[in-house]
Amino acid sequence: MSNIDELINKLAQDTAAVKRAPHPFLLGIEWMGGALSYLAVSLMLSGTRHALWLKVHDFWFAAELAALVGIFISTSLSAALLSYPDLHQKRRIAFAPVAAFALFVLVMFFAWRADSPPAPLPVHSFECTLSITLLSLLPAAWTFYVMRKFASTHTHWAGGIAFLFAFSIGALWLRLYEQNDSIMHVIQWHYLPMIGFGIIGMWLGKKILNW
Amino acid sequence: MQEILISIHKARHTYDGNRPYKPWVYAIAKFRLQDHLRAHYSDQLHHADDLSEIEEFLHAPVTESAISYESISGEVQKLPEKQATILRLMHQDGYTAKEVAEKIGMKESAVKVAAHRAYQVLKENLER
Repeated sequence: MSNIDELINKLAQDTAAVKRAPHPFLLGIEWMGGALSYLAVSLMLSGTRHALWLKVHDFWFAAELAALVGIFISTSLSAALLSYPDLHQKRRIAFAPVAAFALFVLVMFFAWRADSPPAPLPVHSFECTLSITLLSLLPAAWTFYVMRKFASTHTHWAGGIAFLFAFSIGALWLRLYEQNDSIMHVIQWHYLPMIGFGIIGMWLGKKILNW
Repeated sequence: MQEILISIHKARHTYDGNRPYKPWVYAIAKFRLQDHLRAHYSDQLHHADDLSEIEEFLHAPVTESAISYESISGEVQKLPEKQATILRLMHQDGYTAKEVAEKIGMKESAVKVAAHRAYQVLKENLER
């Protein structure tokens, strides 16, 4: 950067090869498509829980899945918007995960109240968090890799939301795979660690997405 | 400013021509400015002296001095007779320059000049 003439020449040469970034919604849909394929492959390899179809008819289980899908969609679109300097001037949609999480908390609260008598707690505990983390690593790395090609001006938020997006894929997978009906276990070992992952994502976003 | 312009150039692929450009430019400028201010203040903190580093100097006595009454008195005695008398009258006996001048038969201004020269000599000798 010391030689200003050299810099000007370099910048002038760059102008020829500008590839426009895609629309953020298109980017978000691409991420969702990739994530759903990954989820489908993971479920094919691991298998689904026993009698999943019957369980889906349980109202609160279906509501939980729907709320989780809401987080998945909103975080995907939000992460895509946060990759652009001005959030593509769609600030409200960028904050959509807040509403999705509020709805999710509400659903989990009612599901917990409806869980009476409470379903027995499974014998395992942190293994669920670990499984979700391992499954989420690849989508998280991929999302970060793609986001680095853009120019986020909200690096910590972008990182946090990207991690929540990746974590929601892992959470969806485990909910469809694990034979477990205990809401307390799900809250404690599936969803509460999401907060920690969001914070780690924010920290990583600041480090990795800076440009 | 240069950093902002370079950033705008680097992020130009994220600009959508169908949207107003000002919010886009402003977002990048704000981001770079925050970056610059963060680095600036962090650098200032980095270069600031740690209190522990200057602690040993803080312990140094600021009211004590190696110069004692005896050493000053000794140095005064080494001065020429006239200068030593003037200082003794002014600082031991408490006379003013005018009173000293009347006492030893000199002009007041000459007493002041002699006293000033005596101070200079004392200062040099005591600081040595």
